[in-house]
Amino acid sequence: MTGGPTAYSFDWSAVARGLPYLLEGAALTVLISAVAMVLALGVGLGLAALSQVPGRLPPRMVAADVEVFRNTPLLIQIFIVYFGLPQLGLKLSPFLSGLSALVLYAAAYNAEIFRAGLEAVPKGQFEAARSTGLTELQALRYVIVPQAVRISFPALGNNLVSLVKNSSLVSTIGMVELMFVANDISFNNFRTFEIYGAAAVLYIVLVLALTRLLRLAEERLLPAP
Amino acid sequence: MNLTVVVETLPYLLRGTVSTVAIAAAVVVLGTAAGVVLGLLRFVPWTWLETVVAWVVELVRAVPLLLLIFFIFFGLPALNIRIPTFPAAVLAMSLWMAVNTSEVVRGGIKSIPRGQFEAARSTGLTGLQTMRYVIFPQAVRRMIPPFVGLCTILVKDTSLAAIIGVFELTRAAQETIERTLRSFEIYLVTAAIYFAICFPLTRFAQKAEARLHRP
Amino acid sequence: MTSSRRRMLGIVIAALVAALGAAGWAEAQSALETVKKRGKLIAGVKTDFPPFGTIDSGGQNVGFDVDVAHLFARALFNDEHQVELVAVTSGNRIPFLQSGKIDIIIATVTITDERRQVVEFSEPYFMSGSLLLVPRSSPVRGLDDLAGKTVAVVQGAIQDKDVEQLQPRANRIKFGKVSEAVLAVKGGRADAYVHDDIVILSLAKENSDLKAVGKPFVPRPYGIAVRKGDTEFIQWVNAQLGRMRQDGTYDRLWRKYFADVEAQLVKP
Repeated sequence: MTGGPTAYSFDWSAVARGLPYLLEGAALTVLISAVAMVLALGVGLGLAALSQVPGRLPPRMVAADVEVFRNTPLLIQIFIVYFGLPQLGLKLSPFLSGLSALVLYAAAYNAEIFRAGLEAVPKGQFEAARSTGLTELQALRYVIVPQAVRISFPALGNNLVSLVKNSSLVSTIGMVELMFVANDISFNNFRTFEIYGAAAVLYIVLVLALTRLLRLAEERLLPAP
Repeated sequence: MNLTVVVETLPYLLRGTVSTVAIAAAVVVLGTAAGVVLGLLRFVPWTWLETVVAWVVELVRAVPLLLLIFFIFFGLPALNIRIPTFPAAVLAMSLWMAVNTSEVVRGGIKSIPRGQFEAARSTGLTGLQTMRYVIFPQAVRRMIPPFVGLCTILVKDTSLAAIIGVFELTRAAQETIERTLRSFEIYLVTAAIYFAICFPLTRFAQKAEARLHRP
Repeated sequence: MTSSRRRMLGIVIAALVAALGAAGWAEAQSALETVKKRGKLIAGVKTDFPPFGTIDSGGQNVGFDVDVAHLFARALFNDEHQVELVAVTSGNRIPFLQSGKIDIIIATVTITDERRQVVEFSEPYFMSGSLLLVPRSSPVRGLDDLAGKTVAVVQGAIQDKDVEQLQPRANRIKFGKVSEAVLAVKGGRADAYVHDDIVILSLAKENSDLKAVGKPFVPRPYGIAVRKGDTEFIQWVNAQLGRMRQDGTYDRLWRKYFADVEAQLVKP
């Protein structure tokens, strides 16, 4: 512990002054999270479908992809995409770098969740659906996938919430989202408690709103059978 | 690609790895202990306590770990709580670990059918005894896969400590890059080291999960 | 949410607010006393800022500021190793000081009026203007050429505000560390990186694909910083700096670290 006089006295007006900038940051957090969510769901579903393709190679490639992205830190993935890839001649903007890292990371988790959901639907159902005259694709579309989605929904929801929180890491590559703005303000006015506190409140609002939205979606779109 | 850089910097990265493992171990011990207590508090007969714990857990879980670290690091001293760099990082991550572990504990206990509670109580066990001898031992089996998953996420997230200058694997990588500016190779090797730690954990969690579903 | 839950949330928030209001304190003791009692100085230094603070291949801190920290430890405890070096950046060094993580900042802090409000500065120990780091083939020759260009700066460094004022048409992109800004220029993500002349000159010397351009603008002094109001500690620091200048230590350090770029520096 270090001693000495400390000059900390609260100044909550710093929050009021910083609020417009913080809200701008929160808007970018919402934007990048929303885009990443949609893409991560799509990529995750694609990977899960690929893992069901007959043959050895596609499932193995999916498994390798999932394991690599799930078992390494997102921060390092972001750094590789942003700082590392230009060394190989691939130069993405900060937004695209952050977005692609967030999508690939979340998609790996989503793929695993979808795959588990698909495999949890009893095999007999597919054959039963086929025997009623549905084509393979129709059986998947109308019988298997809806059930798999219902099974996967809670885990998917958690993963999307994590994505919003994980988006704070793109602050490290200069994306002016909520975390970046909180640093930017408090590194200049040194009102760390107030500014980080305000940023925490904004994240809480975003996350609780998303949680609520997901619960509504689950109730509306996926009524219990 | 420059392999000489990799070979040359590997010993330093391994020093960082040792630190990463030490931090993760400390956080697992502290965070799990606190998390089990928080999780069990969700089943106490006093509603007010349960509600307070539920809210604290929900609010803390809604904050990104990176922000939690910054807040504990730079914000708490405003309340005259001053902690040196390394313990502050461990504390922030332990808080994160605790709230998430408490959810694992709660989920595990809730997955045990209610009937077992009532059956145990009817044999004359007290509420505490029921939890201690009947419910918890069964619930622990179900907690293991998500708990190990949580530990994997923790190992990865210790990388965030680098942002505030704590020495661990990611920080060692950054220091090396500051010297050599070879970010691609060094981050790739760093990722491989994290993978070597996390992959066995993930595999273990998958096996434990599969075992649960076997009769 | 049930109404009892809502009420409980209200109580939790009220308790938090009350705790915040109650907090507020003053410590009379100088950090110098705490340091002496502890037997070790905790100093914030840079690790990405040649030649003031970097990490060598063995993981050791080296640089001008690092040497100063060791000299302070020797003056305090007659042992230059009784100092713990904590890595700080331009952005987080003052929060590190305020939050009690470190006793003193010896990390290329430019003295500004704004910063004087929150920390106690020593006498100046170095003068630095700002320069641009650009790719070797770049046509950019100064701030005037940066209109509409992307300019890398380090978060919390004074150049963030300088560029905003002096070249408002530049698009600033902010990084946490020096190395990241350099990588941004190398990778073509930024057209230039603006920072203290000394670090730009050192980086240009180390990287043959980059060059330093511009005429050093807005020269300002570096100071060592301690917590606001700690006059006892800052007087001690000033006395040490004075002694270093008198006994030739300062000149020795200057030659050790700045000799090869001396001609381009602003003399203090």
